[in-house]
Amino acid sequence: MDITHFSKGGGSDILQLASFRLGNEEFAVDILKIQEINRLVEITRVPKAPIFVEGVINLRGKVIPVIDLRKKFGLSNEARDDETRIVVMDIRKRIVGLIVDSVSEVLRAPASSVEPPPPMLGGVDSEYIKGVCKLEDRLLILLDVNKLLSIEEAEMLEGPSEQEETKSGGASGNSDITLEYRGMAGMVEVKKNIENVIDNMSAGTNVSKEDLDKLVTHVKGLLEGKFFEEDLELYGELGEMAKYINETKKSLRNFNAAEIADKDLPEASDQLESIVEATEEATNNILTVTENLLDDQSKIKNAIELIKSLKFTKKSENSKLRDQIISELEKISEVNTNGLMDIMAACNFQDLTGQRIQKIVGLVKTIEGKIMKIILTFNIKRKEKDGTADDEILNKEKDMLAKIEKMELKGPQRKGEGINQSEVDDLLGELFG
Amino acid sequence: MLDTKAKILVVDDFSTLRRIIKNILKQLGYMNIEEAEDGVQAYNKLKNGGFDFLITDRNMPNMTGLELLEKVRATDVTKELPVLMVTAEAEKENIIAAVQAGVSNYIVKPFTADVLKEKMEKIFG
Repeated sequence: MDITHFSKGGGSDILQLASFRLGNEEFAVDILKIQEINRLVEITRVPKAPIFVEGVINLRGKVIPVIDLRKKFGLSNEARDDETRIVVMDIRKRIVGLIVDSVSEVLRAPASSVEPPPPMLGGVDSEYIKGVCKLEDRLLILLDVNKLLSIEEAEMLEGPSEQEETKSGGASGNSDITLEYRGMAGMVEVKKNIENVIDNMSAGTNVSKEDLDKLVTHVKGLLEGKFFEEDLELYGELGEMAKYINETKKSLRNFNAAEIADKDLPEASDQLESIVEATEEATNNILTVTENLLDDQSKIKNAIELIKSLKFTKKSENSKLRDQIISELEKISEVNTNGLMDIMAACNFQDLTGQRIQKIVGLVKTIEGKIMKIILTFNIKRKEKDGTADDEILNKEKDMLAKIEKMELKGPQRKGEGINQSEVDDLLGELFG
Repeated sequence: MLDTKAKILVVDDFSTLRRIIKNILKQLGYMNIEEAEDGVQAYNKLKNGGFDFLITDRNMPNMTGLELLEKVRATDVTKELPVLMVTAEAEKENIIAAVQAGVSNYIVKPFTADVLKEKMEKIFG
């Protein structure tokens, strides 16, 4: 057990420690290795990061990787709270943050209070433990901080090292700044570079050539198809959206009255538009019946005139009866005619709902077109870059993309025009299963 | 009021609406009615003259009702033709635009037979 590399101050046998809690145990580290202790700030998750790395934090402009000690030691997952702290330390010359449950205190302990560790302590592997410090009231587990990162793991954390922090501009040459995309700290740094450059440019300050070169390289990377995880996630989201629209339109087919189910609607290439056609058909049926009834009304009016011409002796029963009948019929006829005209006017709805539906159809088609465009562009670029293209499918995709772009120029389409729905279905099936 | 022998053109891209208007006019006694689906078809029929009244929608493909109205007013044969616009658009600017283009009167959908009759009486006296 070697305690010589603990800081000793005020006499060769005093250790200066900072202690923190993890679960039920209290740990301590050499205080000189601690840069600072922070409250819990937002941790940005970074895809492709090593497993033990929780993410990164922004510390006054610097990007620091953060390790969750509970995860590292295999302790149970607990919710973080107000007490949670990030202890920023120098580990193998890398600046790293360690998430701990709480920080207890800074203390001095005599070297003589340190003893070798028992084999399994607090569920933590003995490789991480230097020893235990026996204080009056409690036991502190002394952590060997350097063991928290192996040499390889430290190398994976490309990012500001202790020396690099003091470096200002780089000695980089004019061309050929190659940024490696492995190492998540590097990726995040690139993103920060881009943001800085953009901020500086909009603030009108001078931007270094180095920053611009970095920016250009990154953008070139994107264009050449170096896609990041986030891009692929977005691509997946677009696919989900397109599938959702598709499924919704297909399921509209299930909303059918018995008459419509068997009807052949050859002109409606789209289920949405078939709604308008279905209402048109129904309305025309109503109008036909109404027109026939109105015709009957005319016949009734004629019959009434005939009855009027029936002559009876005045004041006879029949005369009175005739007048009664005429009066009744005229009343009913009037009511019916008005009623039929009202029904007819109510059929206005078909035009109004139809127009609204057409507007929605236009909207859906536009959105659909734009989503397909993005998906296809992404796919085509990626396939061309990978060179793994299945020519038939690739050409299909290029054709559809060309069709969509032509349609965008033409503007909103009438029914029967536009992307063939079954072609879209096929393509989405191939792309997203 | 318009003579029952008058020749009337009804223009709307929804066939059900043309049918409704035709029936209302029939009830009012008008039998000489022709139809068109959009502004282009309508103008082709109108430019040869012979029509006494035009009833048109506003929102139509190929040529809107407003464009049709402007063309009608710009053509000698039809520049005095009474025009009734029947449309779903109730926005003030749209009504003003139609009036400025020379519309005789304006009905907002949905409408009843009474309203149509009333507007025709306003136009023809």
